[in-house]
Amino acid sequence: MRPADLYGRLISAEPRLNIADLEIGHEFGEYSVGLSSEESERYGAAVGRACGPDASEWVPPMAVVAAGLSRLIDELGLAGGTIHASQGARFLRPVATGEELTATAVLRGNSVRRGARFATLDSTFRDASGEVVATSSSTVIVNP
Amino acid sequence: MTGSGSEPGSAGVCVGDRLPIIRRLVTQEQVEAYARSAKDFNPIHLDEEFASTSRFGRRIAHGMLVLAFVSEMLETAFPGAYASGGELSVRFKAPVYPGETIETFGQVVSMEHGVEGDGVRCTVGCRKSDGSEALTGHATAPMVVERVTRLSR
Repeated sequence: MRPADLYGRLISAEPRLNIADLEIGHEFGEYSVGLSSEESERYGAAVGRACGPDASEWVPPMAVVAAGLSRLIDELGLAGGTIHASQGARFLRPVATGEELTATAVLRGNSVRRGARFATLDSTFRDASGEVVATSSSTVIVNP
Repeated sequence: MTGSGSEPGSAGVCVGDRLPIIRRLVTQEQVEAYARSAKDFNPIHLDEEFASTSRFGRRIAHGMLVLAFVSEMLETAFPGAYASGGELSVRFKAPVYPGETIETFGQVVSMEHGVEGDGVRCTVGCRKSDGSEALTGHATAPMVVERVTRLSR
C-alpha cells in the first residue's frame, strides 16, 4: 500500500501500476480522501456552484467522488487521453470539510474492445468510524 | 419543479415534474480551475497540442465537471435528501468543448416505495446548445417531505 498525505496525495515513489496487468478483483487503497474547507471552496468555485450548502462547511457530494477518482487515476498512471465512459455514485450522508475519509477501490471490469481498454473501478468511502458515506463506480476508456 | 404529471406524491412531487435547469458556459479557464481543484491534469483537457492528436481534435472539458452541474441540479431539487441517500448513474455520450453552453435537464419518472423509505426516480442529463446530449442517466433521491424543493408546476 502506498502512503498518502491527509488529502490523499500519494507521496511514495513506488512505480505505478499497469492496468493491463491487473486482474478483475484487484484491490486499491486504502488511501485518504478528504477536502479541506479551502479545497472544497475551490472545487465549488471551479464548477460554478451557485446553490447548495456552503462549500466551506460541507463538501459538494460529487467532489468526494472526483477526489477519489483522481487518486485512482494517479495510482494507475493512466495514459493522457483517458476519458470517462460512465459514472455512478451513491451518497449516504453529507461530508463535512476537513473530515478524513478512507477510500478503497476494486477493479470490477478490465477489457479491450476495438483497441480501447475499458476499466471499471468501484470505490467505497468510509468515515473515521468505518461507516460508508459514499460509493462510486467509474468506467474509463484508456487511451481511446 | 415544473410539472404536468400525475397526482402528487406524499411530498407534493409528481411524475412528470421537471427539475430545475442549470445552464453554464464552459470555458477553458473553468476547465483549468477544475483540473487544479480536482487534481486531474489529463492533457486532453489542458494541452491543445496533445488534444489535437486525439479523436476529438481539441481540448475537452472533464466529464466530472459536466457531471457536477447535474449533481448541483439534484441538490437544488432535493436539498439535503440527495446528499443523504441519493444515487446517480450516467453515461457520457459526447464531449463538451470549452466555449460551449450546456444545460442540465431532469424529470421525475416514478415514485418508488422501498423498505428504506419512499424515493423519487428521475431521468437526468446535460444537453449542448446544438441539442445533442453530453450525458444522460438516472437518479434517485429519498423522499424527505419538508426538504423537497418545489419551484413551480
